[in-house]
Amino acid sequence: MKSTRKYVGRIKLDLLIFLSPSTLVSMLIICTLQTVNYLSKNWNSGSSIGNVIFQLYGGIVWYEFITPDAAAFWLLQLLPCGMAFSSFMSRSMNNQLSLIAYRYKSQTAWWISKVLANLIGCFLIALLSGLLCGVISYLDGLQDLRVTMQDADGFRILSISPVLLALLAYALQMGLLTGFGMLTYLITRDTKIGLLSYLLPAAWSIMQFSGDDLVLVDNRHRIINYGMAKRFSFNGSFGINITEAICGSLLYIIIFALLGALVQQWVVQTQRRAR
Amino acid sequence: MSVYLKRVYAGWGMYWAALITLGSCLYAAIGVLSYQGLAYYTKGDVIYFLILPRNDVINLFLPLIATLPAASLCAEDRTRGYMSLILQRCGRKRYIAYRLGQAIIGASFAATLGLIAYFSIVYALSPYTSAIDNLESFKSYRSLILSACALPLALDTVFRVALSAATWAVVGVGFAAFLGEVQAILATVITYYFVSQLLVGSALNDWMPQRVQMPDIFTWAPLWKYSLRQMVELLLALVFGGGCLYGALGKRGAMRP
Repeated sequence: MKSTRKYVGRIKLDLLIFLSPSTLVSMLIICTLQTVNYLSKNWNSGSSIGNVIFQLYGGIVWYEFITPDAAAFWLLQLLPCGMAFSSFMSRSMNNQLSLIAYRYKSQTAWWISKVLANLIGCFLIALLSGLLCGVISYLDGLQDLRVTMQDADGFRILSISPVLLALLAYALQMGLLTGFGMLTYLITRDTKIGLLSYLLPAAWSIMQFSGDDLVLVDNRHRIINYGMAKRFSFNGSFGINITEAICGSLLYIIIFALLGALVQQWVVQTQRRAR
Repeated sequence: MSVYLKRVYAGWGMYWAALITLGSCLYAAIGVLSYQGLAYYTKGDVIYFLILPRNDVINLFLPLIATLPAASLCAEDRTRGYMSLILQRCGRKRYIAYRLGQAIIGASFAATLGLIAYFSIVYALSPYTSAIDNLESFKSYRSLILSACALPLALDTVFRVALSAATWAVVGVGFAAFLGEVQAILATVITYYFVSQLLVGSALNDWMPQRVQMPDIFTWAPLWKYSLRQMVELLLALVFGGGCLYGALGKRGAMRP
């Protein structure tokens, strides 16, 4: 009981570092400006709150031309987590503070507590962003958290599940990217490389789906958030079942966590040999 | 002088930035080639590939290219704890000038290095000298694709991308005066995207800082307007970066030892 309380306390401390003031300020700025930007467009009038959240955090957004702006839109959504991740790396995992790891019974336990804190932090960021987006939309006069979708029989129904799935997709994508970033940082011990290993795959996953639209031809492309769309597309439009998609994302997160544990084991072995 | 530059070129940040520049240029070029094939662009129109970096994926990574080399040096100084010694040695004004100068040199050199590598690949692989057997319209600008005409354009592209990178590097210095190394880079990226997004599609479109203003080479539009805009942007960035650093080194500033 005492040790459980101790671990929970450590995760709480990590979460405080993860949700540092710089993270919260950047989240507030990005979320507010993105939502206001979305709401100020004439063609978006008449949406529901759920629709705004869905479009901003996981929906498939169509852009006629491939421009850096379209990709920048999605990258911006991933940057509050990038800010959280950077302070997490430099304050909770850096060279000096990793000495705290010696207070843990094992190095692997230290690593697992970091992975857990990181995952919980990603879910909290997704939740807070969705909440803030919803509040701003409500203040703009919008109502209803549900969005229109088709059921299995082809009937149009109102449902909240797409909104929740969009936020889940957003959280899991952040968890996946930060997991990879943490693993890279664990190996390189360099915060800048850790940040690059978060940002570059994020940009890559976005650009990968800036594919050519052969129907519209010539220089017309669609940019969607590949990472999310590939895993969480509706009605199997990308041929992937949603349960399968969630399991797939979790599998990647677990693989990164296990690889990190292996690195930590290797560190322990090296230290023992040195002694 | 050598120590002054050593901190820029001895770090890996500049080479990462050059690699990102090269990668983003090649990504755009390969995307075009995979889309329509080289033959579509009149047997490998070298000019097309030379102007490609002006308005493509490189703009997405420009803040990273700008800030990775030397923009966060002052944050590094602060965390190392040698600020009092550094300031005793060179003084506040000189310190600001050094850090701004290093950021500008690092960013512009990284962008130049990446672009030169890209242009070398284009020049080496693009078969623009091969026999031209298609497109009547091609004859109208045939003279422009000769290497003699393409080279100034390549240099112009390098100059403009490097100037944009330098502008955002100075903005990065401003953030690094108050934030940690990595946070400063991210804050620059966020500001860059927002400034770009806020200006897109508005009357201020021409001032859009992330987009390297592309002079219309086919109508021979004057270049000085674009250069003037970029210079004003750099000056504004210098005021911001220098002001932040000056404030941070003040009596109650974040960098004061």
